[in-house]
Amino acid sequence: MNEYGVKIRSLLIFGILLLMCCGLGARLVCLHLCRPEEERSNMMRLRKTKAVLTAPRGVIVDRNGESNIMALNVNMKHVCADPSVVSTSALCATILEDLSSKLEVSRTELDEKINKPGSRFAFIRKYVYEDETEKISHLKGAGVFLRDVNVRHYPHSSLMCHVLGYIDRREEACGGVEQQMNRYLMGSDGYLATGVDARRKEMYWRREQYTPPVQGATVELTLDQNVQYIVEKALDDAVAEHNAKGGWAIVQKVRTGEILAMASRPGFDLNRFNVSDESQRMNRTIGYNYEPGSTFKVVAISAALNEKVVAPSDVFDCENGRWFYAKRALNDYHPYGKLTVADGVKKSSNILTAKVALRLGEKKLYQYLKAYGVGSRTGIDLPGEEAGSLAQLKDWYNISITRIPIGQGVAVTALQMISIFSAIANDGFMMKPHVVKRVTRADGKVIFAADPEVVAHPIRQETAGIMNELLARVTEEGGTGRRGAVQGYRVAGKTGTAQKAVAGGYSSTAHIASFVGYLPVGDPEIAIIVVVDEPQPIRTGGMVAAPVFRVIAEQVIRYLDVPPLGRNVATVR
Amino acid sequence: MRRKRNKKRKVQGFAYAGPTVGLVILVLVALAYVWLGGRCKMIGKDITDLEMKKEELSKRYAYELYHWTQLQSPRNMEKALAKWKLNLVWPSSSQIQQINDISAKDVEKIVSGEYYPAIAKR
Repeated sequence: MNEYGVKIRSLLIFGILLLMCCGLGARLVCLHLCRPEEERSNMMRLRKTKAVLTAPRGVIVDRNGESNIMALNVNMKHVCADPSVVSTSALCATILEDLSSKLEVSRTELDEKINKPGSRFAFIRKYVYEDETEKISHLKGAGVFLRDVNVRHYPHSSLMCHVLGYIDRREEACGGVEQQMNRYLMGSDGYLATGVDARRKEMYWRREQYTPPVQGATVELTLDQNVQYIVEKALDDAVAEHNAKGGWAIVQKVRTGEILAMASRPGFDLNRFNVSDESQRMNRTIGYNYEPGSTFKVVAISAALNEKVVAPSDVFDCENGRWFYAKRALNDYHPYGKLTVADGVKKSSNILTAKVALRLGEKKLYQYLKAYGVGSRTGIDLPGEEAGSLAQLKDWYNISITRIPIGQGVAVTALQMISIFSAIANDGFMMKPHVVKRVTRADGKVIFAADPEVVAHPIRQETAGIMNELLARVTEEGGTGRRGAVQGYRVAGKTGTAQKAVAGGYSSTAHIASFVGYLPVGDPEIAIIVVVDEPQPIRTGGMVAAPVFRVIAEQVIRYLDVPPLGRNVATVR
Repeated sequence: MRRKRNKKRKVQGFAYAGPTVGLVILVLVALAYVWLGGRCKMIGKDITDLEMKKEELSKRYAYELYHWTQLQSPRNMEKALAKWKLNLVWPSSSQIQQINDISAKDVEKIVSGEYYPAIAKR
């Protein structure tokens, strides 16, 4: 082979290779530049993906912190099936039997969903826990598959249901802390714009934009789940025992205004809110106005004592149980002759209270009613609070001065009543009630912390001291609230038995029985209100509500480790 | 007589040393580039896999948290106590001995054994 031949062959091979490269290059140029714009942008679009990354919703915990979670998001599964595959499968009957027994779905319902050969999708059961789906893992591939879903879940079901609220299926907050604190709980969504391969799997090096989602803040409540449980259990027992329509109760720390428990019956399961009705979802502690009856007497009595128009030892004629004022009769539950103010409170005389109010005067009484917050919202950090009802002074009837002090012709909520008693217990200082203690961001920064706030100072400390002693006598022997006494502690309280208003007057059979009190007298720690709606056949506050108060107070005061006689006492058990 | 050296004789050897070395270097650089590109892609894949794993673990953690919260709920604690027949009752007032007029400091000293060493030994 001569040199010339080698050269020619080399050039030929080189030329062929060059031609191939040029061809490839031309094809590349054609693919990238010669396609119509629409086709090119379509291709680019298919290679990219954009997604909003949903921020995990914040957690709600009780006052003991993250060890007691009341609401959180969990991953659940929807069990789905392809009816066209399942119904035509040879093992169709076995599959359906398995699904029915393991997921507790009725066979009839399953047959209805699966007997549609033309359909490609059916929900077998929604919102199934992950460990439950393991029981049917062997059915995957047989036309049964799972879909992930992230759901707001409440581990304690109905505990604290009215305070917490819930998130509905459209991810909207409904009621309670979920609604009130939604702007803190919702967090910030993230964003991802990236390239994907043919299998739609992200190609990390083609990531264009990534903003991580920021988890919602943790909301810490003032409520204690154990105190709440005690209250709810006592209410359930009372409602069942007295065949009542409902019941509600609040436990509050008198010095700070923190709510330790807030329960309303009937209640509902937060995880099954869709099967509850409006009556069950209503928070009666703040959303139900009722005439308080005799528990309201503390307002007029404390006002008169504060103005020094009466003294505890002043004697009033209780007219043997029936007294006419402005041609209208006012009756006592029991007939009394002459009573001191102190005894009148103990025995809950309507006539004595009315006469004390007359001595005080309409104008002063109205001022004290407003000072105590009657007819105004307390401003608690929950939605749906009612303001109660108090007619303006100019709209009072001539007998209003005798009716309003005994809790008729005025409407309040349970929260307003307990605020009044807490003010008396707290040396005359009314604290703002609240259920949210703190809000903490995911990074640990505290973005909101509730401080105790004085909202009113209706009576002097000296008057509050006198009221403490007067109300403590109510739970002693001979008092209407003796069934509310707690062994080892001095309890101050007041019973109430109010007829419910009906068209044209008041019902003789439908009553609201209530008891409001606080303990221990001398250095009060907690106030409790119990209201029972239409108890039958026994209807009085002393017989129905006071025992419930005792059951709650006995357990809560010990749970909080409050010594009976003050703080400098050591107790050895 | 010594043979004359042919000084004009060209030595037949490797004539394209410079360009060849250049080509080899270029190829090596290209290979290194391809290798680095591949490594980056592998790391990117690892990152996305770890991100997915992190998400899965977060979901698992939330689920376990929910389980744990349920287990220690007051209702479940009550059921557990009833199941194991652990009847807890509050002591009656006759079982409680109250020591009046004592300061918290004195209580600490009693409990720590400063006053009564026998208690500390228990």
